Amino acid sequence: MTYLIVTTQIPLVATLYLSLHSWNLLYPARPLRFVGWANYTFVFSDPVFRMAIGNTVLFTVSVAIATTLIGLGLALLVNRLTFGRGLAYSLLFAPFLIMETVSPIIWKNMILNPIYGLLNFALTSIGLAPVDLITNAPKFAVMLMIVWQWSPFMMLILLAGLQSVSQETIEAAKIDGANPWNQFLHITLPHLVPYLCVGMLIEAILILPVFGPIYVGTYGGPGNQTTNLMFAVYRMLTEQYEIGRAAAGGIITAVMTTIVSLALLAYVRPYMERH
Amino acid sequence: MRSSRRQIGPAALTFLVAGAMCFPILWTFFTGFKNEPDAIAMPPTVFVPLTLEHYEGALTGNYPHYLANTLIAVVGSILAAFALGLPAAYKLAFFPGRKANDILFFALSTRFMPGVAVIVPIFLLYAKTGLIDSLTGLVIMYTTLNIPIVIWLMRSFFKDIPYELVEAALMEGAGHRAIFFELVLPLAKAGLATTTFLLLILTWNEFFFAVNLSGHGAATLPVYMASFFTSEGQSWARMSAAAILAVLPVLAVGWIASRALIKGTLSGAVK
Repeated sequence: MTYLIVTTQIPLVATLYLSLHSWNLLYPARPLRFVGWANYTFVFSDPVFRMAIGNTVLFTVSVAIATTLIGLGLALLVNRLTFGRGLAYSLLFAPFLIMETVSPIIWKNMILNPIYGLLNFALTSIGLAPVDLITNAPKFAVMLMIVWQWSPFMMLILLAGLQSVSQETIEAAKIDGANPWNQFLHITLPHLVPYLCVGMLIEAILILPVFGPIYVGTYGGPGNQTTNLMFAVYRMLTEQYEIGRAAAGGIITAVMTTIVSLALLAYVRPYMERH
Repeated sequence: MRSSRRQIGPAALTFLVAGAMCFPILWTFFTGFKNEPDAIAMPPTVFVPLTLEHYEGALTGNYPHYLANTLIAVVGSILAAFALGLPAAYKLAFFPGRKANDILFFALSTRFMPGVAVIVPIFLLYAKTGLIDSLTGLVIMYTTLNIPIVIWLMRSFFKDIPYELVEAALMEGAGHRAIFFELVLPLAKAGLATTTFLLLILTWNEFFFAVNLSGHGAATLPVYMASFFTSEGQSWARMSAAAILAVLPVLAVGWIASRALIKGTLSGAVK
């Protein structure tokens, strides 16, 4: 516990402290100087950071929604299996195990490459024009990579939910003549609501600081179009050495995460207290 | 029970979808066996002579250096996280105080904190103390990331052990150290394995801290893969082979232990 406090809380407080100061490592002669909220006003007015904040929200929300829909579809499919469940698990679980620097390499080159990619092959073989997603729809391309990686995660959470649906209720509904669609709508879906909420909130917390697909897939480009907060801070720190501004970006990311975490906590806590 | 004939359609669809989800990985695996011209041929080639050259080449090139770094960072941080986290998990499982839930959520919140919230001072501190581009630095950082998971999961596995057992041992005058090592840990073997697997996957794949805190010397496999084209040139077949080799250990662990992982992690999250 002490170790955790030392390695997480102290850096957090230090980040807060640094975010109120101006300091650039490239100019060692200029010492650390207190500037109040100047770094924050910079972050909120700088076009790159504004783009980054918008993208952070966009990527998080749209990926959470897309993976929920895909994950639900996958979970419903796998849940019906009476054989080969292990194989289906293994195949569907694989994208989640791939490191976040490898999946964008695979997508960017093997699939989305405008000349040699499989997508181009698929489009041209059905008579459509090839599309260069990375250049023309970079945001969509990045989201595609993240969705591919995170859909299995959602599938797992929803599978756990599906396996705890009361079979008696389903049987009773069948006897009452409810068709499968009605069974799903009135029994399964309401039962899944807590799983959906918790899954989406956890996913939002984990996807908000997504980094690999942006670093490898697009390097934040073209023209900062796919830069998110995580990536903007990384560049501010390692390329411009603007310590205060990078820290301010970090604190803003932390605040956004905390808001989602508090929502999750508010949702889960009553349940935890009962157990 | 539905008749088996009605099962075939949905099942076939399920495997089709599962295959499609996994297809990019399988295609990459296959491309690693092709000769370079076939790897970038358009339309894509299937029936071409295959070669082991790229997988062998990847194994003898830079890969071993990064693999060794990754292994050291993973094993070191998992051992440290167990050493520091298990006592806390034991205490929270069998002797929770009134603050147990607060402690648990605090631990979890540290894991959920995005890397950018702490990277700046850590980067400065590492630069000052010479920990930049050192495996020690990465192990320290990864231990921090792993402790909350050890606490959460191991606590829930410990809670499966009847408290009466621990109580009885205490009555007989056994010390906590003896109870922990001789009674509790052996009973939580499966949980230890599950937690180890999960930490292995997460640490093996960690990229943000690795790319910020390591240069060439201590870089791990994710960092190597991110810079693959700048360091190894634009070779698709070689890239595919290297990518598969980089993810293979984690895929293997994930596949072998998938049931235990899924069950254990989910139950750890809800108990």
